[in-house]
Amino acid sequence: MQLPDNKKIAYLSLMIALSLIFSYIETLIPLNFGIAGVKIGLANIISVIALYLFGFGYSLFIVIIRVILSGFLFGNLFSIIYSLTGGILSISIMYFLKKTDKFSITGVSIGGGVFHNAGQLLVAVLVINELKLYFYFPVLIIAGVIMGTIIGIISSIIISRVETYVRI
Amino acid sequence: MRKYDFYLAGAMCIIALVLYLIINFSCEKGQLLVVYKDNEVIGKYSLNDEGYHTIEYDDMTLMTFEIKNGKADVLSACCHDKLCVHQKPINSSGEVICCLPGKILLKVYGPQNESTNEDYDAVAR
Repeated sequence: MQLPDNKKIAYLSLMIALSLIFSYIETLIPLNFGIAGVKIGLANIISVIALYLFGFGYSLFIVIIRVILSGFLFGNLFSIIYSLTGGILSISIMYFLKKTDKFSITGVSIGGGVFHNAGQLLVAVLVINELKLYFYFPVLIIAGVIMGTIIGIISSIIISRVETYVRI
Repeated sequence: MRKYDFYLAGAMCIIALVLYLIINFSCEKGQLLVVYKDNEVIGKYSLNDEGYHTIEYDDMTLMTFEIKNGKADVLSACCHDKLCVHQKPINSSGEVICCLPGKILLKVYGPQNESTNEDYDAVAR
């Protein structure tokens, strides 16, 4: 297997570190929807940027490593399971949306945001075995759309300024 | 933002609305309110009997709630966060209001599970 070159290592590490910081900042903001650790998803900015600059494989890698690390640092085993499911589902959906070429970065991010929350709620329903949790689905979808829009706008601004310089 | 982005956001909102309507109309109205303190049943009330009730312990009023219009609503509580007071009145089978510091739980039971009064979910256990 060919070792990745230094540039790749540097960029990937930078993205993982940045998304960890974003995760940490989120723990400082007391804004939440009350269940199952659903959060604003600031770290999704990095996921979206990574998807557009580096592609699906690398962005998935960044998401998984970030989830595990932030789980060890700021959370617990359950939060890792929730975030992992939400994150992988979200990146996959974003990849498919991006492939259709019909959506802008914001649109892709909306899809990612909704499915991130949906994935987390799904795991919560399975783990806690309390079907009544599905009451939260409508709220989470709306929250996903709103947050996805904001994250998408921020990401698209960053991507447009940075994409000529950052290349793996 | 392209036009498909709006379609996607719109579709998601519509799905959310549909789910909300389905959930709202599919939950059945409950009949019985069971009050638990420290996981023990301390009172059962029919949601049809309007009334104002107090839960007391050691000469201290822990919580007051009332049953009105077929719903149970917590009026006051001795806990400091008052989350239970701010919760909306409950009337659907399975709905609960709980005061964690006071270890009080108000749960609504529907017509068919009146017999299953022992009901602990995984979290309580």
